[in-house]
Amino acid sequence: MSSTQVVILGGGATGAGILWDLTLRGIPAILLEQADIANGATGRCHGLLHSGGRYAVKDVQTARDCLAENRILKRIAPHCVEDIGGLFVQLPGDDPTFFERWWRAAHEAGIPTKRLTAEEARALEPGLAEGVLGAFTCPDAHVDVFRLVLANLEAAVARGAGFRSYAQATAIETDGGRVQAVRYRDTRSGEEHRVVCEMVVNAAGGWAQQVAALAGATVPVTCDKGTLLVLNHRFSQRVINRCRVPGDADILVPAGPVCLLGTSSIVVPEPDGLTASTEEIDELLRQGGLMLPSLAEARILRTFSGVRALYTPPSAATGGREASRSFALLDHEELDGVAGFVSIVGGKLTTYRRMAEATADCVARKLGVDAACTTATTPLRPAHHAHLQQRAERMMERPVAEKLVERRGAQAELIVAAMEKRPELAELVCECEMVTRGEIEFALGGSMLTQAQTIADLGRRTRLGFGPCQGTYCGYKAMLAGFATRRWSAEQSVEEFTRYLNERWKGQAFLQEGKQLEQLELSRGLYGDEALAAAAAGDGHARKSL
Amino acid sequence: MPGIARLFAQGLKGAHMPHDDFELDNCLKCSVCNTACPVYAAYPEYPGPKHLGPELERLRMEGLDADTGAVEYCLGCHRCDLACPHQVGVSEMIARAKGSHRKTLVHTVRDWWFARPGLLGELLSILPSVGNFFLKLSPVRLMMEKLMRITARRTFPAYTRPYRKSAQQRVGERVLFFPGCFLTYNRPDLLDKVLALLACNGIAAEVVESGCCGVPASANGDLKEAQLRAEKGLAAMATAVDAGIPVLAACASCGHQLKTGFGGALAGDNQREAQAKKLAAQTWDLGEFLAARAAEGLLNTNFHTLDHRVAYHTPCHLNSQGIGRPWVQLLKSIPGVTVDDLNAGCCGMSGTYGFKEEKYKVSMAIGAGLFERIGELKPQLVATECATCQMQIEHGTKLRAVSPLEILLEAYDGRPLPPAVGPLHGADAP
Amino acid sequence: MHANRYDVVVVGAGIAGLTAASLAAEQGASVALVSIGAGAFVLGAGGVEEREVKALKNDPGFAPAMDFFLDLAASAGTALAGNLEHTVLLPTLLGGFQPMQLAPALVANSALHPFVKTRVVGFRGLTGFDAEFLAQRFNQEAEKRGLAASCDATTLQLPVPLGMPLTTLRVAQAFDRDQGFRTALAEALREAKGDCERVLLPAVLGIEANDLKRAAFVAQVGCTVGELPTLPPSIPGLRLAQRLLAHLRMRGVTMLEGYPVEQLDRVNRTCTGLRIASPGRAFRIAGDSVLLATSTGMRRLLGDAIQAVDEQQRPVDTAGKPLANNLFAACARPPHVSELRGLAGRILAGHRAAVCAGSERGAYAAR
Repeated sequence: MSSTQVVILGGGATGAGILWDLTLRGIPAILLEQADIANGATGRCHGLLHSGGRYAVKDVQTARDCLAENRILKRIAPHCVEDIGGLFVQLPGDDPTFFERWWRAAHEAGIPTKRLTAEEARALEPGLAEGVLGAFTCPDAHVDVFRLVLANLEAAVARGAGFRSYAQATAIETDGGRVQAVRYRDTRSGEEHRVVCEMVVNAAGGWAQQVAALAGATVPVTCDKGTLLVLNHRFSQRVINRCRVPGDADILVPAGPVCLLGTSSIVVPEPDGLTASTEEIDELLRQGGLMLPSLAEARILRTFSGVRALYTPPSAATGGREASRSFALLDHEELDGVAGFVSIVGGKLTTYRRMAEATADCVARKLGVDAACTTATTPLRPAHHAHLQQRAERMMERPVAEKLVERRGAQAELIVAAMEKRPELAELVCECEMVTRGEIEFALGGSMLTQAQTIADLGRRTRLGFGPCQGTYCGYKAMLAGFATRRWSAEQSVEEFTRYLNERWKGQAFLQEGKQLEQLELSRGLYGDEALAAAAAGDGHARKSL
Repeated sequence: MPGIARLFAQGLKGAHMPHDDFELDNCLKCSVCNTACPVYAAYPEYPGPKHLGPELERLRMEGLDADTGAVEYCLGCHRCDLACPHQVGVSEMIARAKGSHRKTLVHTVRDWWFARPGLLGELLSILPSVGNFFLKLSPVRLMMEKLMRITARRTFPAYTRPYRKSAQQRVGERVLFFPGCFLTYNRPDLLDKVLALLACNGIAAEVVESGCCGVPASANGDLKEAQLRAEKGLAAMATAVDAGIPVLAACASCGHQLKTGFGGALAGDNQREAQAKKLAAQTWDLGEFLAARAAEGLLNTNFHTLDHRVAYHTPCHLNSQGIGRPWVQLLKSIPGVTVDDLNAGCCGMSGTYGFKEEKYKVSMAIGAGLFERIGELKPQLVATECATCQMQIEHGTKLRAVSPLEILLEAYDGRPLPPAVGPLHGADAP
Repeated sequence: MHANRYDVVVVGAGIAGLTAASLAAEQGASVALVSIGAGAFVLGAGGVEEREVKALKNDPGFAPAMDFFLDLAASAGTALAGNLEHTVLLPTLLGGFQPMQLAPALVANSALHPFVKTRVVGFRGLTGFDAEFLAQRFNQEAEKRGLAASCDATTLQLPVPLGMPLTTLRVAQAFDRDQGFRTALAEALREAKGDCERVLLPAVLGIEANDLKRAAFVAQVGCTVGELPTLPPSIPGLRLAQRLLAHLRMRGVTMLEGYPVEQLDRVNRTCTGLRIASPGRAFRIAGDSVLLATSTGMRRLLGDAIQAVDEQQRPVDTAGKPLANNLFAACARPPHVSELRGLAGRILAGHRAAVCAGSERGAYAAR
């Protein structure tokens, strides 16, 4: 992998989308990601596939864009989308004129919506607060962010694109004001590599400025932190939005067996070392409780914080929610005199494909490639055989089979075939999220196009450790799977697992009482001494992962 | 609410809370419920309460089809609930899952009948001797096994003219007596004697005629029937409940059902649930009631001296009432009676469960430990208040099993218990 | 007949509660033990860590408490091995070693012994256990300490199929239930051990089975057998719990299991009874002495009073007076001191509280 045409820096939705788009146009490209997939904003958001309802009042065009992309993604990546619909609920005390403005704006934006009475709303969602006045429906959905990024990456890699995780760019070489190559470091082994290329795409989100600096360019971004809570079970079946001017904690998104409540908006100096304060968490629960009272007593599995990278050109220095949420494509040939270097910043998860399209259009034009974008109409995953799930059900319970096939698609066939030869692979490694040993071994192995390097990587690819036990039991079993498949030596296995544990524990650091704290203490009781010793010994990779 | 206070409250909520607050979120995946589950220990294919309960529940809430035949193998013994250190209502989750379980046609038809012992009782007591005769015939039983998957290896209890309320007015402290289907249709003689026993203790008991308590219905996944039974039961006992009159149940399962608001069968019906809560607060197990009278010195203790070495078996649904083992104390207070508390786990019968052909082996495997313990102790007879426990013990040990009631009656009567005759004692081979 | 009234009522069946109830029973009291589920100790291997002993050994109550418990465990058929003077290194889940001073006998047999040729034996399909992993780890850890590596590994097919996935719990239950299984397993190990002096297994050698059954099994294997820790549920922990409970039952302790205490009734600084949150209606019991040995339950039942206990282990109010003269708490002084979190700490707490309750008994009878 020492030369290509385009190097993309940043493995979030945008970067992955660009990789796929370029690949479809026949442009060779490699994506380098400093940690694992979706490490930045993509992996730390609600996973809300907007219908546009949140923007209709302020910016009809953005709303229309969102709606269009919402529909496209549901078509091209149905296996990543839980098309559950959403509600915008009216709480007493919120601005009543806003409801009417919302209704008109939604129609103007073309968002299909119905007005519900309070009774109708509660019939759909019995958990809604007594005081809810009414609601509007909308085609919101939940998108599994990791699945989405993986889908783009795997589709691209299957057609010859390159992808490397734990690859941190250390330099962008230029000659005579033109990009020549990218140097990067494998953060796990320390090895240095070099890739010759014609263009570099900076899709590094919150790290965009740091990457741009490698080429002597500038990308002014404001890092706006948002904190989210993961709650132990689904409190609603639909996305619940609060119908008011966007503010804190007004979205609840069901995400598989859990739900995500958030978020906040606090400007921070940099995208690393993020923490969630107790006040933030309290406020999230309080506000969320106004919409669904049972949230106030919810068991929080973990908290995490992510950064929205908001493009703030000198003329819009306020930052925060006021800075534009739409995206910007920066051509550094014009702006900084660096030819072959472009940056894409801002935007939303929902419009990632559109952002990728704009970027790929620019790249294609610069490379003189005459190929139009086809991502809006190309499915991200080939259909799998209809009998695959039935075949899987012979080896495991129906919901386990369903999740396996949903996650892995046609590749589930390899896993099921392996299980038929070795029935012990049907063992559930993660009992909370129903992940089999077969799937874990697959994700650790070479057949997986975006092979997992760490246990946390396994989590992002299979949801291992995302449930109530937060990796206490399944992380251990995953470690043993890594050892058994000779992926890691015994010593490496312990290193991987203790590092993973420390990451998982960090996300529960806010806990002072309650069941999750007991779960955490159980976890510490089992592994505490060794894991804490490992943490004290220190390591470089841990900081950035979920 | 300030942060610390909220988290503190969350801790309290998540910590040990009274019965109403059993929650999915309390589960720490510690697997202690699996260690207490009699089916898990006896049947290697059974995934266990942790999986069928809180693990699958999260997926059910996600909308996945998590239906599995394994839920049918849950005994409904509640031992998982009792063993859970974190107050997760495991068995209730599994009971709900049973309600949406899709069965084969044969099981559906069979279990429809099993869910309605009241109806069965009414039908079989029209011409009881004919019914009893046919239910003993080998060819009939073999056909039942082949067609309906009802095991031929057990004896059905004999049916007889059912209990009908007598017009006789009794004097004394008023109570309601909830008889249960076994006393009504199989042992109305015993029911009469219970009323007499209460009378000689100054208690005027009126028998509730509302049919089955609904436990067999929910055990067989027929939640609609369970709800219907709950509604009928409440209606029949409404005035008594409002008047604060105690309701007595001799059958441990009926007692547990009444004490738990009919086991969640009325969920969503706020008014009835409130009534059921009142009923629960006024329900007494018969042994519990008599023991409480004894503690206050109000029990008629004109006992004859007996000569019985008894081993006492606690029915699971008495265990789950959390009232200790009142019959042990009562029996011990009878001169000439020695009592060994068996403490040997679940008998494995669980009402209609053990009659099902596909569950027979599991049922007997579960009871094996109990049979062994009885064999070690070699008592003269076994006492247990649950009728199906009695059946299982007789089936598995060939030893006589009676209700402790009968021993108490004997102590009052002076007349020895009839020798091994009666509805339960038939020749049957395991 | 005085129903539901006891000399001592102990709340909580963790190690503290079990210790307290045993001591009270041994002193001849009628005892009731109220519990919901087992304590946290069933998740651990039932051993006492060196650092705990270091922290506690100067406490005058420590030695008598430990003596008592060691006798108790032995009578209950789950003797602990080791002594308080000597540290052994026992394996952890991650294949490291931690310094312990006491552990259940077979668990203690898995101590780091570099000169003993050892084979780690796993079972095919056993979830959460990898013999090869542990053997390699043990060798690495030995080498780190400048000792010779002496472990290898093998994996056996269980002689009797016990379902899939195979769990340590199922194996332990089969061990308890089935003499044929024990024999077959012992035979398989006997063959598998080769010329090794010691085999190390995942801890599966029974929950209800007593030491004698295990000794017979080990004799059949024909070499030292050690048990290794596994993911919860911990079989040695459960074993300790079950055997202690069986021992208590045999001694006539009444078990009231499954429902929490919702309220303590107090009249004029005497605890007159407890209400257990049984279905439908609270179940009331009373004790001359009431001993609280729960973890989270104490705060819930006593509120802020749990800030302190007096010399007699009685929770006191802000004025320093006992909430009730017959109410005792098995906890550290002051509560939540971290040393008393481990097994030894809890044994000490339970023992001390029971000693205090015993010395006061009779003086504050709640009639």
